[in-house]
Amino acid sequence: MKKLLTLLFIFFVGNIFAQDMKLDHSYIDPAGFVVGDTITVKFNTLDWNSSNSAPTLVQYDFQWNNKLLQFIDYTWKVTGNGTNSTAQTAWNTWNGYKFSGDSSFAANKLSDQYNSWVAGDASYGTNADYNVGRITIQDAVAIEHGDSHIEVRFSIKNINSTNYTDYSETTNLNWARAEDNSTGTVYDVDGMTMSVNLGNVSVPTDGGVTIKVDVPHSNKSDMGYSVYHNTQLDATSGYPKQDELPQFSGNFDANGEVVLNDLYQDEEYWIGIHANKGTDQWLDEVITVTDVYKIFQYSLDTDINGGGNSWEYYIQSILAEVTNDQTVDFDDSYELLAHINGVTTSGNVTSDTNGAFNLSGLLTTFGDDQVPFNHKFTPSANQSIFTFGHGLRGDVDFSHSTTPTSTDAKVGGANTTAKTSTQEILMSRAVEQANLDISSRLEEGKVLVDISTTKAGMVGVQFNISFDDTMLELDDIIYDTGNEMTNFGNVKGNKVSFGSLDYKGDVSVKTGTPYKLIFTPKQQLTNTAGLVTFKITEGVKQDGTKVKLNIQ
Amino acid sequence: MKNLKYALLLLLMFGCTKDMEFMGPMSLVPENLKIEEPVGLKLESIFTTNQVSINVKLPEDGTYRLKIRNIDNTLISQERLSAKEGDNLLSIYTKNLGKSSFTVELTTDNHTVLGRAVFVNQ
Repeated sequence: MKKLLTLLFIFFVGNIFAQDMKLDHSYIDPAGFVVGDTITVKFNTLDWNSSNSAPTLVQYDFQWNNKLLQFIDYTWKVTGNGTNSTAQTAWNTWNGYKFSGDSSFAANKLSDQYNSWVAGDASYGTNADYNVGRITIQDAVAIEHGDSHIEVRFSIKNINSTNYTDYSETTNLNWARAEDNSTGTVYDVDGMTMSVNLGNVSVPTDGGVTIKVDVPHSNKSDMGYSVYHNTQLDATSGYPKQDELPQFSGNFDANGEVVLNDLYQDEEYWIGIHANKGTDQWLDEVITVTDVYKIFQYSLDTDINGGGNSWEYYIQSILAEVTNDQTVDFDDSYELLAHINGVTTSGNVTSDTNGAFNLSGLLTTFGDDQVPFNHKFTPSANQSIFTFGHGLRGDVDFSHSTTPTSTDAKVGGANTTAKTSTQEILMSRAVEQANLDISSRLEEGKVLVDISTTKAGMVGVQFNISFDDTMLELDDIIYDTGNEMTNFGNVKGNKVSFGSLDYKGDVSVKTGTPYKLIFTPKQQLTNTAGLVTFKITEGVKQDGTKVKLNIQ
Repeated sequence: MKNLKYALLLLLMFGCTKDMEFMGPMSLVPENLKIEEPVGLKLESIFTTNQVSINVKLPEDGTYRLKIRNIDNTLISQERLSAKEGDNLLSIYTKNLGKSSFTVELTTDNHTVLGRAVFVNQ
């Protein structure tokens, strides 16, 4: 009995005093919001249970619903609190991710959620509706409780264009950690206000016009728009006159949406949608070995049969034509092969160097045979949401472009079935996943990068790798891909593009360790972690299936 | 004779002391990289610019992996290294990673996770 009481006492006391700190976040503006208002969310910690917690490092993640809130900016407050003026601070964000916490712990047990995340029992998954923010503060002295660390401003978005029913959960705290680096003391942190609830937000009956771009990539905030009134259009071409400036322009949000409040009902407008490389420089990832293989296959078929007409969608013949000669042939294939080999190509090929070559139009008719790109829309009392498709020249496998939804966009109509082997290859099909082992190592004064795979049947493989060129110099790329395979490789600055492609699809890359890179260090190294990073790792099978190579 | 007695006495004294053990190269682990647990990893600082020191404490000699992952756990860099039992002072070179927050992960050669840590590259 005595033991039981002792155990109960330990359990009771342990649970009461386990937490040392609270992490709180809340808006500081007067309540009673309307759509378009700016809210300011402050984050701060509190000492709890008189534990005298004195963290010199605090780090926490939160997420916000990007359909309900539009991020504006942030301001550090911790460095102005009179104590932590020399604190190191960092603000990191990621678009399109949502936290999946460890259900073994309550959501407000933020330290436990952090430990679970580090242990791999909680994770971030892709979710277009959420963005993640990470706040890191470190100082030589304790970071003050009570005072705001940071203030983050958001604009409230119109809920009417979303699937959400209220503004009760616009933000969430995900995990937190707090430590005293001078003593190694780790503090237990619980969440206080876990979500920011905006209460009743007044939504105007005229909520503006929502423009959406439906693209399959996560760089939607790098997509821009330009809107012109129809009086600004050239009567012959239907495009904006040369000297006209757009009435509205800007970027879409992370969800690929923008609300325009000053458009007039029953007036006709014209919109052009474009992609920017942004800070992620993602345009080099658009055209890959799969696109190149498909265009080679089309060109082979066309040359042999005098016009195989084997595309699945009409728009593919526009996307594949990158040499401005109005026909898709080997010239286009070789132009795109040069691109994946890291060689600067003509301006028609979408890349970080060239920028984007854009094609856009209303989604309902995007890629149609007769009018593939309808840029015009007319807001009315009955229609205030317009969705557009967007394509990038060279992207025939639609990895970063909108796949047409209209039956008039399909060659042969809705019930097209492949009649030839080339048509089979050019059909859209699910992406396969395969494992890949890429690792660097130090051996006899050289840095070696080994690329090993057990995936058989790939007729093409492409890798883009970058390296720290202040520390390494590339000596050689060693290929062991098979005697009949055609290999390519190129170095531009600190980027290496290399791989193999049998454009006829007859032979495949050898399994094992088909590629090895050899670098000479420019200074003495203890090891190689971080010196080489991997960006594009993709393969394509004989039947045109894209293979995403996941590094283990 | 007196000198001989002193010599014998000195010989006895040193003859009875424990032999000095040969000390190999000293591997001093800085205080901020010491790891109390038998296995794990510890970064010198959560903030990094071009390079950060890391201590990797291992259960036995062998081949291990240091992996760097982004927010959705995608592996963006990986080193395979031979390391010894106990503390191993290494570096993570971060110039090539870009400005973001990353997770460094220590695993065995067959991918069993031994430890993880978060850092912010500025």
